[in-house]
Amino acid sequence: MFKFSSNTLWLLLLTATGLTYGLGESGELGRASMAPVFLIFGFALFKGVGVILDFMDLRHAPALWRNLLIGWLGFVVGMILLVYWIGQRY
Amino acid sequence: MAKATMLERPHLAGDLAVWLIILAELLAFGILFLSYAFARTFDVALFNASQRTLDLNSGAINTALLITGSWCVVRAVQAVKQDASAPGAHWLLAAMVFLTILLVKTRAGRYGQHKHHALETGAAFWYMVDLLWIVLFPLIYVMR
Repeated sequence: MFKFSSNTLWLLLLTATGLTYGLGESGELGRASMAPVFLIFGFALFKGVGVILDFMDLRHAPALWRNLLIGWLGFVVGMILLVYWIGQRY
Repeated sequence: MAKATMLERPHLAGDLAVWLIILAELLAFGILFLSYAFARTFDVALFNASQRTLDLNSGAINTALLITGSWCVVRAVQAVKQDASAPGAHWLLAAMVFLTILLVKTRAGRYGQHKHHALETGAAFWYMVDLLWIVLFPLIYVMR
């Protein structure tokens, strides 16, 4: 799994937030394509995993705890994407 | 050698109790986020109109502040673990408000390389708020 220094991770998290904001402002989200939605929640997933592994320091914790939190994030983001995808199709 | 082995062993930062609270919070917010996403599909126009009343700029600024706060707490914990209490206090000061108690104790040198359990416990809860906001920001502020 990716590993950055805390300073680099902080800059990457801010950059991902800026890109998310940019996509929100761009007006692309109201269109039919799911690509911007996947991109936005992809950024959220990247940011969440960064916080879990290196801010919460679960990288060095027992695997159960690490998997529980990453699993929670993956499940929530995955379900949100599935709901949006279904919502766009029907 | 024994000390090095101890340091390398997987360990949970902070108190087990706070991690159980974190799990409970994540479960509750996970249900809330998914309920919101499901409910939205029944009346997308209404949800979008309501979400447009939120200020995207404020959402982005809040996200940046939370991330920066967490980064400051990370730097504080790292500094204290290296017995550098003064830089640790400096970072906590930047993160502050409800971390006041941890700040006072850190400045007093109550935490160090071998005693930083309470600091890690407070920090873990702070990071959880960050994690929740990371999902909430695109869900509520951006997707509209």
